[in-house]
Amino acid sequence: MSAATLASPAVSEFAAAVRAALSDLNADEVDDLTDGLEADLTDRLADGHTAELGDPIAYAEELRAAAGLPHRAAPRSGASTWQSVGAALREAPRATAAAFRDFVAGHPALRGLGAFFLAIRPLWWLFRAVVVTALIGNFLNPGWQPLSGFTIVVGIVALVLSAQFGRGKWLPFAWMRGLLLAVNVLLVIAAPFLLGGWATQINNAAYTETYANLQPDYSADGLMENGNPVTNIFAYGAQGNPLTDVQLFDQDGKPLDLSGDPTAATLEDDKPGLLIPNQNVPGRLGWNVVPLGHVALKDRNEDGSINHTATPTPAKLPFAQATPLAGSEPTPTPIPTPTPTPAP
Amino acid sequence: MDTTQLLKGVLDVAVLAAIQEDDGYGYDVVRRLRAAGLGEVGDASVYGTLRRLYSAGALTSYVVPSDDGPHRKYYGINDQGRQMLDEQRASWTAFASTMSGLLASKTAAKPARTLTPRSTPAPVRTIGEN
Repeated sequence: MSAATLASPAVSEFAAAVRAALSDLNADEVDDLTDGLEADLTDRLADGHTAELGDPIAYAEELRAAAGLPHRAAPRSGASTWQSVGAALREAPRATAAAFRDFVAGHPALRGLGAFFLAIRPLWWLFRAVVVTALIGNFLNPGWQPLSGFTIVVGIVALVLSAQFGRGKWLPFAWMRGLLLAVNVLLVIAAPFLLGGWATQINNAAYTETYANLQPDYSADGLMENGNPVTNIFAYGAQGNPLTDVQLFDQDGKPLDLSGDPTAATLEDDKPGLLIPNQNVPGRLGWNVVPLGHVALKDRNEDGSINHTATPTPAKLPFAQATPLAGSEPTPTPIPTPTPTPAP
Repeated sequence: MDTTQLLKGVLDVAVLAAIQEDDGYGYDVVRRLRAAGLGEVGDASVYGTLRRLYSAGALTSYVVPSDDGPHRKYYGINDQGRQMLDEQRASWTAFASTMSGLLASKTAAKPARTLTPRSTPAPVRTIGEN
């Protein structure tokens, strides 16, 4: 399309209309007939004999006739009905396309629109290359990286091929044009789905990127309540007194695991500490024995791991005593019933 | 008489003659024909003729890119084209002299049906045949 882009809009538009009017010929013939057309039209306008290029359809007819090519395919007479029907069916798409192009060529506004689409064709070539690259990437390597070296190489090759094919180059055989048309149609049909899929992927990626660090990892060790880690549990008895060394199990008899975040301990002086499991559970660490005790940060091993054998300090209670359950109140000190003072 | 009709029959030889000395691109050839006096020659007819002569093997063709405009497609004559030109020149000369003789005679006994306007077996298709 370099020729078209270098020519004036009027010339490009006229040349496009001429090509449209020749569209019933095969692409090679059209190329052969109209190669250099823009230059000839430009010169003709520059000569100043005429300001108007005239009717592109008549021009195309003259070109076609002088080149010894047939007029636009007209229905043949004398054929049987079935042959006519068959021919009509075969000709219908082409005839419809030709009629459409004639119609467009006859209306300046539509010609302008046609020239506009002609001008933005490179966008389509780019899109086509991107889609094909994505398909190849997905096919060869699901979970492909859009910016990997391989994808970039494939993308560049696809872009060059797409642009060359779009310019009618590198298509030596007629069937290649048919194949290209089929691929184009498929891409147009597939485009909404592909674009939708990409939008989802991009959304997901953005979501993951944004929230990955905010949302807790539910697969991590430890206990969760409504998405928040439970780092320690304080049990109080019926009378509201804190219990110690309470063993917790889930509905399957599995010990609850509070090992999620050992650094969540708060010491008595509100400084951070390290939660450690109970050491008195035979055979395993007592991460289910609450409340977990803790050690100060300085009791960490040299390699940073937690020294589970350090002597734990009882965890800081959230409150010294809970409200007793109804009926389990500590026996109240009987309040002496005031002895009624005998009335004088 | 409508000279455009006459022109159709001789456009091949006219185009061949226009590029027998120098190669030319489409509009170049139109200019040369107009400069020679064929003012009514249509651009598209000339381009179509050039393409047809090229397809028939009478011309060579090459594209010359341009920095400030669209590329130009040049045509040059080759040996087959020169042979074609010679043949058509001869047949035109014969035809023209026959016609001249006919038109000069005020009492032409025999009308044009004895004439064979394009007796030369043209190696390429010409416009009139379609």
